[in-house]
Amino acid sequence: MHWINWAIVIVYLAYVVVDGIRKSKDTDTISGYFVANKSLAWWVVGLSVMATQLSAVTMIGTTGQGATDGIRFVQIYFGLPLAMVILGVTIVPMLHGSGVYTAYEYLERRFDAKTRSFTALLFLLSRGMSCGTILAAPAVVFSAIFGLPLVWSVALIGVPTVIYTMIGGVQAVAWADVKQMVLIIVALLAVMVVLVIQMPVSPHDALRIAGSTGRLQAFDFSFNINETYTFWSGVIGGTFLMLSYFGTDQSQVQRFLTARSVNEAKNSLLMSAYWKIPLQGLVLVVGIGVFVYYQFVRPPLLYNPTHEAAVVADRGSAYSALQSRYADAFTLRESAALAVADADEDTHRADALATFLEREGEVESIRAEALMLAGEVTDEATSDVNYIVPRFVLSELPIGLAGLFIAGVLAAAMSSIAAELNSLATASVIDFYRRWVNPDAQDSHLLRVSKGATAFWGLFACMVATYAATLGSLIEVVNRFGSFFYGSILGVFLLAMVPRARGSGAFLGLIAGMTTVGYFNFRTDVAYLWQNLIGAVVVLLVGVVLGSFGEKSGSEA
Amino acid sequence: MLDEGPDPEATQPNFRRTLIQVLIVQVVVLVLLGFLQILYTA
Repeated sequence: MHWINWAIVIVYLAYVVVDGIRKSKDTDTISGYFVANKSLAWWVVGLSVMATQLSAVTMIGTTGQGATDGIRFVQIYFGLPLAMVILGVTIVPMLHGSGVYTAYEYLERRFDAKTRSFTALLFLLSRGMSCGTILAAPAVVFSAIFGLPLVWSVALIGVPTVIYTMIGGVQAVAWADVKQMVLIIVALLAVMVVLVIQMPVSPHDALRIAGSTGRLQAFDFSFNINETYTFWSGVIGGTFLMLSYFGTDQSQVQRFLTARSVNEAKNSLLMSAYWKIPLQGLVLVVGIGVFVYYQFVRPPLLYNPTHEAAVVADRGSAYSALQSRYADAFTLRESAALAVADADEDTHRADALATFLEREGEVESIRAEALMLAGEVTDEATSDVNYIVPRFVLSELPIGLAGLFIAGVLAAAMSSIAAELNSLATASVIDFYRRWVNPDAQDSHLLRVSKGATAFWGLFACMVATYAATLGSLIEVVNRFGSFFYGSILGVFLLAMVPRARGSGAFLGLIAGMTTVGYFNFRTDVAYLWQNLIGAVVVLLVGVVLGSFGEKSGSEA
Repeated sequence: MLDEGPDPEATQPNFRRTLIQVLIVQVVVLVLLGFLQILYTA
């Protein structure tokens, strides 16, 4: 990478750390450190919420998914606006108004200590793991593309994030999120503008080429619970996923607990409802643009440069033969793509499309052979979806913009990781240390423990990142970690709104919900989005039924 | 801890207004996606 690009990345990293430390001045109490003394404006919280959700997986994995699979992934977010509205009138007033530091703390007031501790433990396990996964996503890609050892890539992202999160607490995280969100949007728009300018065909023709491969099919109305991305799984399963994530996951709950009032907390969530689908559309369209661009500019046969080098070294002649076939197939596909672009309605457009799809199939089959070869040589997962857009950025973007995009990927990674470290530390200290170990601890002591907990979770995430590196599609992994627990935890919070529900019913319901989700996860092909709904419904049913037996409330605990 | 609590009279109109805007934007985005699909998907 050109030194100017590196300079942009280094300036960004230095700025984030220095700015984070500057924001640490009002964090000498745990209220300041964990919820910013409830002082933040709705737009700060709203951008922080969005930045927390938009990780580096979105910047490199989802753009790559747009290039290979098109825009249909956007369906997963169709339930988000509805979820935000429901949260605005239910969980947000309930949690913000109750003066808690964590969502799980509320569960002890409503139910009992064991329900609180169990849900908090589930959060620590799942978020601790997923924090490592979202750190691994950019670290693995940076490691392969820049030839850095993985541990250096992990440190490049992890160390600055831990420093500003540890010192500045939630205020540093929220204000860094604001700047990082702006940087992310600017970086995505810059790539989009460059794509439009450099595209060899008009936007209309580019859309026609993308559409002919099904990449503009945003809606799939088929009702198949084994299919992950359909309209119905997005609207129904997606609503439950978003309700769980934004309403019960401490990494998001802690964002809106920092808002100045309940009303500002509600409006901060509505910001996501407003912008999430358009933003996700932009992310996927960038990927689709890269796909169309690569119809006219030959991309590498293997996007992962480390795998490419390993294959060249180990199976040089077989790879050369593939390269040669790939070059011929690419030329044929390019002319077929131009024919699609040039065909008007009255000429043989259908024929041009059929020829293009056939040649696209040939190119993809050669790529599949190359990926298989890479798998045999490296003994690693062969999917290179996460490398498509970074390779495009480094080879096709002008100097400066490539650095801006890499800084954007770092911003996306750091904003998510920082929020998760901050919330992991909060749950560790409030739900475990202060609750069970040292209930009478002074603020100054708790602050020291909180900073230590942040450093611990940062180290844990870095270690998990090393193991997650061998996993395939990172975005699926992140969502799967969440889905396993999410629906059931949401069920407990929904149960909290049912007057007859009791503590032991909530706890047993939670166990039943997780067992059911575990069954569906391992024994059936039901898509993971539906598992959120299943988990929530089972907890609710079991909790209500047990509650109606007239058990005494456990909320005295 | 500060506990300002919800104030229906002060907060509902603002929340509702934003809500209506959110719904309008979502419908526009979905219609746009639908048009893209209908116009360009073979």
